[in-house]
Amino acid sequence: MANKARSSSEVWGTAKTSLAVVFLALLYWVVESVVDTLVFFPELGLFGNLLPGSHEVTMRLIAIFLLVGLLLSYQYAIKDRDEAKKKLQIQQTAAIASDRLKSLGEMASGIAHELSQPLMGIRGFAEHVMLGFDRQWDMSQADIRKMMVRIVEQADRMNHIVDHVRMFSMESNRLEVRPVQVNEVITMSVELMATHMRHRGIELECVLAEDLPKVSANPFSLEEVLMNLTTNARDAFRKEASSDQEVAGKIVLRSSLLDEGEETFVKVEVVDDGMGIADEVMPRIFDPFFTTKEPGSGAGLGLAVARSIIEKMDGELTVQSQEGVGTTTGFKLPVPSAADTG
Amino acid sequence: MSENTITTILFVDDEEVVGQVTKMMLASLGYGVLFASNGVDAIELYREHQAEISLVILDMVMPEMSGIKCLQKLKEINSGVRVLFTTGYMQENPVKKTDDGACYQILTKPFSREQLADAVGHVLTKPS
Ligand SMILES: Nc1ncnc2c1ncn2[C@@H]1O[C@H](COP(=O)(O)OP(=O)(O)OP(=O)(O)O)[C@@H](O)[C@H]1O
Ligand SMILES: [Mg+2]
Repeated sequence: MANKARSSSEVWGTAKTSLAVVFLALLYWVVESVVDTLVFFPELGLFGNLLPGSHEVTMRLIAIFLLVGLLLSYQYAIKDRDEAKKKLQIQQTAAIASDRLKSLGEMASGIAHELSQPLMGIRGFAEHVMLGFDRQWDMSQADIRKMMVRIVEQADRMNHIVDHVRMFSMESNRLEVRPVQVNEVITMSVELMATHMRHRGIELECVLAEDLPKVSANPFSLEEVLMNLTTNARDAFRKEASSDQEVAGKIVLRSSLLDEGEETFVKVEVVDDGMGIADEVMPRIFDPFFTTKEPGSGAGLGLAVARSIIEKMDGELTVQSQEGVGTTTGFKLPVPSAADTG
Repeated sequence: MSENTITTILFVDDEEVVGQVTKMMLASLGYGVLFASNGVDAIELYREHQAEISLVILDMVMPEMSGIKCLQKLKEINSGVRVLFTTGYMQENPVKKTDDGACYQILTKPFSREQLADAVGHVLTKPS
């Protein structure tokens, strides 16, 4: 696809150059005619009287001068436009990067919690064996081996988490897509978020459709989208939530298959029964930097970034909400037809 | 009545590995251990073994019933219950104050055998 794009832009480039040459020739002809007219009928214009000597040459020079000026200003206009475009692109990239950092930040306490468990296991098992040696407990080879197996298990568990975070920070901005089982992405995200949510009195529930076909996506970008939607849902409860309370709210992550005649989609929804979104706020929620949250707690990027990620994967992201009742945010991604995957 | 002088501790945590390791630690420190993996079981166990349990170690964050809620129920059974909280989250304050003004020490996970021994010793020797 990249090849096709390049060659077509090359063709367009050559065409543009030849057009420009023809246009310039025409323009020169027009300007020169006007100047000539002024020379032959000097009473009609200023130039004839102003310029003594070889009118023919002077007029040609003026024509060329005018043309060069025209060309230069056109060049500058183009350059300005390109620079503005580049600036916007840099801004967008920065926004996406900052959103990813934020997601990592959101993950951080979950990650710390997830790591603390196996870490405690490793230390505890190892210390136990050590203590056994020091106190000359009657430990058989098999007993010791059992402890070692547990230690290795826990180290693997930590590895899994660390790998995942590393991949997330590296990969979620890349566009490479591959066949992805959406349910696996949901499960992984929930694993990282669940304890953190529970700490705030929020339960995460997954309702996953079985036998979902794979979609073509970047799993880490999808995870970023899920995190953005879920943190939004979490914040919708924030007002009443405190860790002392039993349950401040429940967020449901649901996946399903959506058949729309010609095309099939995998649909994912994040449902909360939080405060909802006011009608007058609704039209602005996708605007970058729009937020109703306190300064420092919301950058207003979550939905904008989520939407751009989903649209890059040919999907669609939607928000439905009723103030005081709750919000459903969701996206659908097309299932590649058998011919595409072949 | 019984000649049993072992101090028994009820340890409550939803995480399997933490449970296993802590049980081993407590046993090696010479304590008797009862274990529950959730608040409901913990209350059940406490009701049955109230007389022998000197201390309850409670995870603050557990599914279904939080440590705080569990403490409320334990207090309904025995208002003088001794409790030590644990948590896997950074805590600004190592002491948890409940609504009724009582203070409880918090032990942050992961903890070592030594840290556990210190915290348990501290809570057990504190006049109630
Ligand atoms: N589930 C939801 N419930 C209620 N309001 C929501 C929900 N999702 C989004 N909103 C509203 O949309 C606004 C924009 O959301 P967005 O995720 O883009 O930014 P943010 O959450 O404010 O900041 P950031 O995500 O960058 O931390 C929010 O400030 C909030 O008012
Ligand atoms: Mg957000």
